[in-house]
Amino acid sequence: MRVTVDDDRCGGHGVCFGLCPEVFDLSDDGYAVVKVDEVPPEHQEAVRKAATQCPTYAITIT
Amino acid sequence: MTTVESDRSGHVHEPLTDQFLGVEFSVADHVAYYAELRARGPLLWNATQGFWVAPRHAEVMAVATDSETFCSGRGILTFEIGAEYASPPTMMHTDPPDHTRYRALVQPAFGRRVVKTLDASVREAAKALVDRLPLDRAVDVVPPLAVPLPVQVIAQLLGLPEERWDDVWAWSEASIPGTEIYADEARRAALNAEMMAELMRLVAEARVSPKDDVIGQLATTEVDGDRLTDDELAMFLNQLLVAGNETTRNTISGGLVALAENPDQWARLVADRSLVASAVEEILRWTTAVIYFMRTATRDTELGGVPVAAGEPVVMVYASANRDEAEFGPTAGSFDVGRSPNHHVAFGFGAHFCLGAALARLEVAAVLDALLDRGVTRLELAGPVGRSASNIIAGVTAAPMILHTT
Repeated sequence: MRVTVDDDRCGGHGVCFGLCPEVFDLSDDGYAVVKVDEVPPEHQEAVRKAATQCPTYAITIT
Repeated sequence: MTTVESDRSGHVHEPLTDQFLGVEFSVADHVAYYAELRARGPLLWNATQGFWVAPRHAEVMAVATDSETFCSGRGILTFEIGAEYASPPTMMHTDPPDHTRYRALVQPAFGRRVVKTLDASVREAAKALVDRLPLDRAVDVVPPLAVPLPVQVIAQLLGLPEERWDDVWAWSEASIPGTEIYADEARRAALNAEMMAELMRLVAEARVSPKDDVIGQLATTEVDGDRLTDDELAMFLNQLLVAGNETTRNTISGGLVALAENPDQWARLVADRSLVASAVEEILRWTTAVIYFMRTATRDTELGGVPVAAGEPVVMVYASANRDEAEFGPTAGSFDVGRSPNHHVAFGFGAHFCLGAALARLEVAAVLDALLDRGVTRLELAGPVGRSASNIIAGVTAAPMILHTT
């Protein structure tokens, strides 16, 4: 599983970071960044949740 | 010992939850009240009106991040229980797919790019207000700082010039239950009519010649050929006036009160400006402007080990969750400008996360930076802090303090 954050959509709410800090991080100005190439199996459920609960629908899973 | 009764649902009534009936608290000490709620259990039933109260961080997060099981369409405040809406009164009352559509259409207006363009003007507005405050003698920071800053920012979002700021303030007051203007029915109606006419005019103008501002974005954003209708846009701007105003105002005033009550924490900011960002988060946690919002279970489920039946509402007490020792540890009751991690829920969480969060954070940071720039070394309370009785908004109505520079 791979995951990306659309920079134009991200609102800096930090929901993904709150749900899965192992995969998501926040940049210095408070917006989400993905810090792994491949999502480890144990975090895939949290990443799916982050994608559905992202307030700005900025997260895409491929 | 309190009396125990149960209702048709078979759940045991918890009298403490009666504070969430109506719109006013009758407790003097909110913090102690929330601690008592959390100690009683993960989920407490109110038999009077039939709703659950979730006072702990874990259950608030579980509800907030599962919008399929816990919907918003059946009301977000307890006085809405049983209400049927032909169309959702606000975006906060929508569920997917309606919510997905609204959010997609309005989010770009609050995205990183637009908020960045506001950075300089918000900081300028905060600086101008702070620079006019008297130093080294008592001043209530609510009227000259906490009230006007959010109003000026909203006026900017709407593209209204300085001479209209008083109008924006009056429209906002007329939209918020509990204000003096709201209580005056004739005046409220007149202001509402004036506001809607002005908003419709702004919408029409932005449709024809959109600027690169929030209203221009809202008027022109299209997703798959779809865009907001004029009515939706005006409704949304109206919501902006309410949601962006009182919450930010109380976060600013409540934050300054917290910094006055904890002079060691202000001293840390004076010594290290890099703490401003985490101080903003701690102020958000500490003040929690929106005390609660409600969801309704769409199916039989379970929360904190307690069965919840389809149709039962659940009150997420953000203000209590933000003081939960289980999440924030033994220092949950201390105001710590360097707190990390700080997974507060002052903006809610999940799909309905506050749309204006980035803007709110910017406004609070701008106030702190402006006070530091002015050389304020210490904030000292100079009289009793006024707090509103609302059980929805944690309002600070008076915050008299001395801004020391020596």
